[in-house]
Amino acid sequence: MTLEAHRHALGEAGKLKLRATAILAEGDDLESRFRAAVLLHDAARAEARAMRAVAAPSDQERLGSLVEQCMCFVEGCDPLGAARLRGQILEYRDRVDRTTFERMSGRLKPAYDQLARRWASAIRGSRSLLAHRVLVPSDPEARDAVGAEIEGLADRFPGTAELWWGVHRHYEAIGDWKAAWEAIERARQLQPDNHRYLEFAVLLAARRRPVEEARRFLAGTFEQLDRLPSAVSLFVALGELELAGRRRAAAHEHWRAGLKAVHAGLSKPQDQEVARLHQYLEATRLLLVALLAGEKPTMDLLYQAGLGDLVIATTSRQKPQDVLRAALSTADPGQDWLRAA
Amino acid sequence: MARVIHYALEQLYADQEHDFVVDTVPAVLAWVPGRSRGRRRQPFQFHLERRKSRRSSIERLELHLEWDLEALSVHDADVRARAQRMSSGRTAQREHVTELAAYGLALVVISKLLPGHRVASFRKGLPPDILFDVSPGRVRGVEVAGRSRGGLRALAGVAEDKTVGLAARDDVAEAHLSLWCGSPRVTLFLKVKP
Repeated sequence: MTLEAHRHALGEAGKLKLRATAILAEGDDLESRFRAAVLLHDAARAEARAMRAVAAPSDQERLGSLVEQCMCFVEGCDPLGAARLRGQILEYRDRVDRTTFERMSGRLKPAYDQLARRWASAIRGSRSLLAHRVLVPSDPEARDAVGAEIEGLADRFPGTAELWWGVHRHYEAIGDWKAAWEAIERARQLQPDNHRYLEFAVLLAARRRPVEEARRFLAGTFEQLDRLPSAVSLFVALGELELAGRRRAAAHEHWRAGLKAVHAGLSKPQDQEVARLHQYLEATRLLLVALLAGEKPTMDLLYQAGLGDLVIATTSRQKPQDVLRAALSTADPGQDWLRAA
Repeated sequence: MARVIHYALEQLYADQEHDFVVDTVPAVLAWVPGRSRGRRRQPFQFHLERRKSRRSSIERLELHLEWDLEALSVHDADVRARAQRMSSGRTAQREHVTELAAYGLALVVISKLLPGHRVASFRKGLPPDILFDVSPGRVRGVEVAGRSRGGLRALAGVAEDKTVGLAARDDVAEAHLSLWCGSPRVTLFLKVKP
């Protein structure tokens, strides 16, 4: 990393901020506000990259970068992202002198406080969401009420990826796959480094997007597996299994692609924290090997992989791939804000 | 008699990097003429007060700003439509138009009064807004503000607030203020540090 990299990243951040402001000046419809939010999130990442390029930055320099990143989230209508950075900023209260801290965060604070008040008020007004505290209640009436509230929140805070994830979950639950896909793509544009969104996008693409588009999406993700966590490999493999179901004539091609994805995941160093993931990868490997050998996969492969706890409550009609998919589809990434609201 | 500085807005594309100019120009076109028909004749004249250092006296100038839409369209084919969208925007949008227009006008005075200074980045949360040197721990730049009304008196109040914060910061090696008022058309360009 060099000073040139620092300068380059800050130049990029500056251009993105200007572009976002121009979009907001030209229109205030949802699409404009969302596009501006995406650019401001990109700008925040560029600011962070610029700081990483500085050898041994001072506390004051780090604080300055965090303030700038946080302001990008504030103007990018992402109260959750801004709040996470606000926490990091407050750590510098005791590292730089009080006056410097107040002068450097003086412009940010009122803007942040205003956004936080708007967010708190909007959440307090989302009565169904607060009553259920889940994104998709099982009761259809409650599900629709929560879905409408989350969509309303996403309209007011279009830079909040967690809300677009919620919109995605709602539309997925009611079977509107196009709207579900658009929503998860919005979440991914805001947080392209969030591999959980990518994982679910892979599964959704494999199951519900046009086959050619899904193939391209999975192939594109496969190309990036070297740089992605093992969990993404698992979802690519499961995605290939789904595609094999949709293109039976080319099933072997997809099973082989799935097996390659599993091997990519298993080849990465594992530790205790990802032991469970390793079990899922191993189960998927056994499943694909059985399919390629022309055998009918049984629940035994889940036991063999150490996932017996998933099998014990299943019915005799379920297939191991259904169990894997169901187990991996229940987690709502990054929704702690809802449980805490 | 105040010295007159002439500036053709299309010159900005030569004086500064394209990407730092292209999003500010439509806002200048939308904001500077204002809504009154009688104020739309070029050149647009700004009374400009400049201070080259904290201890020097105020120099009074006239900035005569004009533009050729055809020449601007060479760099941004949509400039006319974008300016129109910005002119007809609602209140929330107008704040952004004022902000962008002030940035664009600041680029004009930087190009004219600090020749050779090329903008390197923009900031939103941490003054100064425009940086022409991003060296860690010793940035140099220009803090910008735009006001629709209030004239020199309003700008003087803004200058007072902003000067204190910038002058006291260790990480700012050089700072200027570029403050703009749309009606009457007045502007301050003040060096506040060192």
